[in-house]
Amino acid sequence: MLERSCAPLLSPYPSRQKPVIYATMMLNFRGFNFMVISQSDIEKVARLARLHLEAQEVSKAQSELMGIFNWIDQLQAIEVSGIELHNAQDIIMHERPDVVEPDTTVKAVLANAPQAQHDMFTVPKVVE
Amino acid sequence: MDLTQLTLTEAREALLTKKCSAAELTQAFIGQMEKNRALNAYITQTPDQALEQAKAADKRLAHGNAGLMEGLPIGMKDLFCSKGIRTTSGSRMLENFVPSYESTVSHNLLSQGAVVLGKTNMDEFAMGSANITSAYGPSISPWKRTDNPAKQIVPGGSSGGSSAAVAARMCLAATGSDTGGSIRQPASFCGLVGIKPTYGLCSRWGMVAFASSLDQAGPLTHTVADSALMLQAMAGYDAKDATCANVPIPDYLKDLNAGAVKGMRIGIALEYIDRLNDEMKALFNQGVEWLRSAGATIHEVSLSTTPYALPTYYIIAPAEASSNLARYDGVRYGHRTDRGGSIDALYEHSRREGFGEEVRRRIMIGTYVLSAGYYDAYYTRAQKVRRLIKADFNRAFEEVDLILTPTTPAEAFALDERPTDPIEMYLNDIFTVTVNLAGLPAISVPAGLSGRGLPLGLQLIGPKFSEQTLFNAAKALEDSANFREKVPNHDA
Repeated sequence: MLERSCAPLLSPYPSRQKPVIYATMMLNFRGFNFMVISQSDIEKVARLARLHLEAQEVSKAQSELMGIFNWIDQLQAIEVSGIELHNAQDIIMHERPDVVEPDTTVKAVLANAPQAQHDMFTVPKVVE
Repeated sequence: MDLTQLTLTEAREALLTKKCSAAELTQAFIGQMEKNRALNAYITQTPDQALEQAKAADKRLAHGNAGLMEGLPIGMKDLFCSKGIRTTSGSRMLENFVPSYESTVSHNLLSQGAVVLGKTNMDEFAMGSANITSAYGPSISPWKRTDNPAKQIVPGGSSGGSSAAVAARMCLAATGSDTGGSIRQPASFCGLVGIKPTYGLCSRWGMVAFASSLDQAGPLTHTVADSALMLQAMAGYDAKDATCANVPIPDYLKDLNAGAVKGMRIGIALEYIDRLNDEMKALFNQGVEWLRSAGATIHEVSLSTTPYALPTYYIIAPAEASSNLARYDGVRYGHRTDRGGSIDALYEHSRREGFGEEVRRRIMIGTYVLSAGYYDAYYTRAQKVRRLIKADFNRAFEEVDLILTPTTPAEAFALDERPTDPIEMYLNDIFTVTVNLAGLPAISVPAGLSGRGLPLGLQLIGPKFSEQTLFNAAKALEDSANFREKVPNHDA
């Protein structure tokens, strides 16, 4: 775990170029509170994301994600109680009339289809 | 006259005063593109179509009805859907995707008479800071380090093909997109001007989506005047993008006035600058002096949430990306696996094969932070911290008109010296992501050269819809920096 957090300090990135500010961020770790992501967590997330992972890739994904999340975890230190969530960019949504407008054609849509038949996309059987 | 040495506004002047034709201008850039293939700045080149567009532009110029960008050859980042022209977003997933429609931003440029030379290289799905995650190979900067000219230098990312193309004079200017710094950082690395406008100023319709609450289109150009002209052509209300702001677009170029800096209050945030290396600190202080000499007053502001911006971004952006990239399922368009099996196998293998490593990593992060049991601890918390970041800027802009920061922590790195740790790569965006989270406009201006002869940029951040103020202050910096004199002949 410690090796993971030290990795940036030992990287081949030339030290003259090293953004010094990240050193401070590394020191903000609460070293006693490393989060753990299990292999089954990784498999579950890959499933949700419909991303195939080879068996030998699971442990690499696990250590990478744990490293990233231990870095992200510094957000846990901030006081956020009392903050209400509004829409992210204060956008006022404009509605449009519910009227059919010309858009595209079946031919144009199917032009990029990996497989198509009878004016429809062909896929493996879904319903048993 | 080497036509490729002109800036966008100089070329426009040359066309309007009939010193050259759009066809000649286009041909000159096509030649430059041929000479510089090794930089891999373009994924798809469209010289024939460009010459057709140039011919039509010459007719309009002759009739006196020239648009804002009439006859001006530009590059288009390969995430703007181009009707009838392959659009890949730097990914194998869209290797053969040919859109049947034009994105609003590229349509705006085309209807103002622009000539499109091709689709520029980019990090895959705009995820990256060095143009090395592209499925079509890295793009290389034309800049060389004085201590080791043989080294290949990265052009920044994700709009690295655009920045390399403009810097190597393979187009007058190019479009980019900026989600966490992807216009400003490549601009800084390549000695160009790059602006990310206010969220909602440009339409996102027809842009391959990465993170919908962060993405914005913008131009990469040689000068501030060029940037003002091109942004005006790109921006504007679009009913097809529900997040697009219904505000009038000013004539940024006509109203461009460096003198407006007199009396401007410029903020400097200690959290951004107290850990800079000596070189960046010297450049930053130089920038402060330039603005002071131009008549601005300098004020310290505090943006205490700054250290939390990067982790916040690396929760929100991957979360939104995991949602936006869920559409790539191998069913309706994009890559479909040859491996047989169930529908789930179709999804899982198509996505595994179509997406590169960084994209898969960010989808995993995003899926994790949105999953049951972690949603509140990560995603909700990050959105709340985002409100704190916005509040910090709102408070600062009650006291100052603009904030000055460096654009990047350091000069561009060499391809073979790139960070192998993902987090170290992410730290390139440390000065740029806050702006996307807050939805504010920001511009990077090339300010000087590093000890090793590579460009360094300074960034100005403004409140919402303050693009004119940004352009004016940026012009003052540009006039003082005199950067154009320092640009070597990359062909030599």
